[in-house]
Amino acid sequence: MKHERVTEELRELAALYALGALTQSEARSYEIHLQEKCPVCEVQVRRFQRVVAGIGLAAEEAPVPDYLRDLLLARIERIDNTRTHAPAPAEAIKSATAQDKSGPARTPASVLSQMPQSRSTFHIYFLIVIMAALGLLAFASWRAVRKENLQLARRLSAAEAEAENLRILLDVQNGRVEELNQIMTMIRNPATRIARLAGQPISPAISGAILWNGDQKLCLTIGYFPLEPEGKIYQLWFLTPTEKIPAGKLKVDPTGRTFTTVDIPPTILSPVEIAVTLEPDNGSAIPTMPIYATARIP
Amino acid sequence: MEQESGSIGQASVNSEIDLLLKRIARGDRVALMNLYDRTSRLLFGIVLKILGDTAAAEETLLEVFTQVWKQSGSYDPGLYTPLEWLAAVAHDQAIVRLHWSKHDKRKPPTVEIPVDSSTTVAPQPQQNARSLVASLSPIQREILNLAYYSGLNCGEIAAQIGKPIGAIKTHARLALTKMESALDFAPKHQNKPIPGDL
Repeated sequence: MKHERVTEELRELAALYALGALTQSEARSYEIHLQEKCPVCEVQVRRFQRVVAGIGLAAEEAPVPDYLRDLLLARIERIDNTRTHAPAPAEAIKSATAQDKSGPARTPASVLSQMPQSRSTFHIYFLIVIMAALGLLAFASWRAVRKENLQLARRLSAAEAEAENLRILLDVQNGRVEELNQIMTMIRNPATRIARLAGQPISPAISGAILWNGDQKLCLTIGYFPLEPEGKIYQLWFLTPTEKIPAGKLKVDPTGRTFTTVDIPPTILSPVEIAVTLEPDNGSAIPTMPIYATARIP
Repeated sequence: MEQESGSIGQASVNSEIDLLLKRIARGDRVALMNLYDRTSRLLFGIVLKILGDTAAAEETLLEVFTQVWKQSGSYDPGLYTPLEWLAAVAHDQAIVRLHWSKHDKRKPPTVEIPVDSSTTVAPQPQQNARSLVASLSPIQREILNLAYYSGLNCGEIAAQIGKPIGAIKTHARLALTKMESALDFAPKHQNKPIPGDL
């Protein structure tokens, strides 16, 4: 039944239809009425559809990820490769009402489907819908796989970093074990003598020990030292009653720890006193600084 | 949504978009990307607010521009301004997806929607639309929001806000009528008298 004049009830129905606020069955009944080409309702619906479309313009904007642009381009290219771009002529889309829709009025069909309906266009639509659904599925799968890959890559990266840290720790611990083995080997040797390395008043924080083995001609220094000032090193000296023999640089790690083995010169036959001084980077032939630590070999 | 104060600014924006749509209808990809650059922030804002899920909103936005690419020829300047048409396409795609997701048992992920109150796409139409929505009563705004962004029908809205369904319908009609009065329909229908108009 076509209406002859607009009433409040008709306007309300048109407004609710345009807003998508009718139930599915109400919307379907109203669409059947619109298909009867009721000019009054058709105009009301058109007007309210435009009003509703305008509500979206009030929405907050949201930043769009950059990669979506590339995805859109790729999608358009794919569409163009699968079919010739054939836009519908504007003249064919004047009808504001849906021709045969199963959903609410404001489905994409209501905005976009003002094209003539025929079996062939139905097939095209069907194909497009199938392709769009497949495209969506493929895109969703691609996103899911990509997300999973990213998570796996992040986990792999974290695991690699952790493995690297563990390798470093293992190396350090292996080094410690090696050092302990060396200390134990020296201590078990009856020829080894042990002396306390004591810091002097200029550097009371120094503490350590000297393991002296005259048979093997080895002198091991272990202990903790304050870090050397820039351009300086700790140097070991063997002190005999007649001379001060430079015995080499003490290797101090960034924590101040030292584990340094030096050879005892063949000329030294008996235990001596040992001293540590702070010297320039390349060492000194004779001590140039006060003694920082000493040890008397028993 | 055209108001007199902003009609010049709107006409300019809509003319630009109208030209882009015509070029797109001829298969001009550059025009499509120009349109995307010009309008995607606004359309993404609409679909993201409806879907509340970034991944779904991104897919929907792609679908919106795919539809525009395929069917820009179906745009009828007698029915909508170009921006309104784009907003309607975006809204429809998002609502369809929202209804699909309602059948999905999995709970959709929620997203903290980045709030960007700037109006970079079409400042004058956007500001006019916001003013118009702001001029509605709170209950009218709530009803329009629930219908437009949540895809609820009158019964569902009535249940949600605890008002009689009749009141919901009346508020919705009055709200749209108020907004309708601010629209300039003349250019759209100047050669086509409106039969039975009040």
